[in-house]
Amino acid sequence: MKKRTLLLLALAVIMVTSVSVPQAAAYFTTYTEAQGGYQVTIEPATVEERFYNWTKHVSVTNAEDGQPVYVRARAFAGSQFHLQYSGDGWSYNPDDGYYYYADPLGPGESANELLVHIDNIPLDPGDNDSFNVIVVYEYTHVKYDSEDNPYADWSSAEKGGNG
Amino acid sequence: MKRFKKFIFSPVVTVAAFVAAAGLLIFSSVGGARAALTYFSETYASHVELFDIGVTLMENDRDISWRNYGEEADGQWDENIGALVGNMLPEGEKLTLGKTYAEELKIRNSGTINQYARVRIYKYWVDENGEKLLNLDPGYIDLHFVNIGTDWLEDESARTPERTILYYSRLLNSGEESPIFADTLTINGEIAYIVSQVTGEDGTTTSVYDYNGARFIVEAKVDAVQEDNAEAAALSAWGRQVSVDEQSGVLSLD
Repeated sequence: MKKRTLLLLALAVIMVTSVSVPQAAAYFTTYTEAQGGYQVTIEPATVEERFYNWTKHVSVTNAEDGQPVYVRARAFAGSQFHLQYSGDGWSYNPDDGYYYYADPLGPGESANELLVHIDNIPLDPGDNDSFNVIVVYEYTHVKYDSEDNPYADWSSAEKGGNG
Repeated sequence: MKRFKKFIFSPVVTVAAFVAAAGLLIFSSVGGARAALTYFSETYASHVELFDIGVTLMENDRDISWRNYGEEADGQWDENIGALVGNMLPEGEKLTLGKTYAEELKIRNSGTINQYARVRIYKYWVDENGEKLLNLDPGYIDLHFVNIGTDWLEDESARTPERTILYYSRLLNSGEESPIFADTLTINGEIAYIVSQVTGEDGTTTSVYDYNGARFIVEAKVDAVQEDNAEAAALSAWGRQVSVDEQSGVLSLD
């Protein structure tokens, strides 16, 4: 009997005090969210060279996961050899001696071959005759101006290697 | 005293007290309901949706995410959680560093009551497992904010390299869209030149791009509170003291 009395008293207290509870959380609020993003891939461009008919065939290819790049190249050889350059899309800049490829290379794209022909070769080269022609190429990631037009900033160029 | 104690603990008094408590509870509820009905009686029949609050995040004029409460207090609501920057790139195109992409962000009051709102924006980098890369700089994720200081107020005290909190400075009426708070997104091309030297087990040193393979994340969280008693509602829901001018309804940060 005493237990039941206490239980009834407790219930009565809860009922009376709970009258004011709902007013404590009376604000209307709402909430929503969204998120997203993309993976960034940065891979270096690569160069491939083949040599035949006294001509170096230089092919520069951007990586499949690379960022768009501009490329330039030039070759060095002993003074006794004269080098002749040719290739669609390549143009010479006398200020620095580099040949520049006009269009930026997108991911996986290749530039047209740059041909470096070696003149003044010995007509009958002997066993001890040798020559060395080194091709240097550089690339720089495409930058964009305020109008979103692409341009090259060669001050931050990266050497892609030589052969 | 003994008789009084006996009287108090008698079953009759206890039952009477219980009945009185139950009566108090019932009649206090009825009284409140009757008062509310009296107060809203003129509009009650035609504006039953009066208390529905809802907000929608919009990206480039498309609804992305929303949560709109319904007219029934049944714990149900209309909700969608969308993906941000999901349509930023044309089909088959990869993200290009340094290129500026359109990313116009704003909100709409998709509820039936007026509201005050804020947006919390987070920018950070994660690896392929979604783990946050704390060594990579969120500053290279350039979400370009606009209309700051006019339509949107930045809580500069809450600013971190990763987080920006913007408060809409005016009351956003039901159905109304806010002005945009961001217009473009650019991943700074400088990250293509940030490399680290890594020495392999055989002692050879190679250069690796620090940001290669990392994924940038932009996150927007929108909060809204009711117009009435907005200062207290904002403090309760957001934990931020704001001031609302009674005449103009303009919100300011203290």
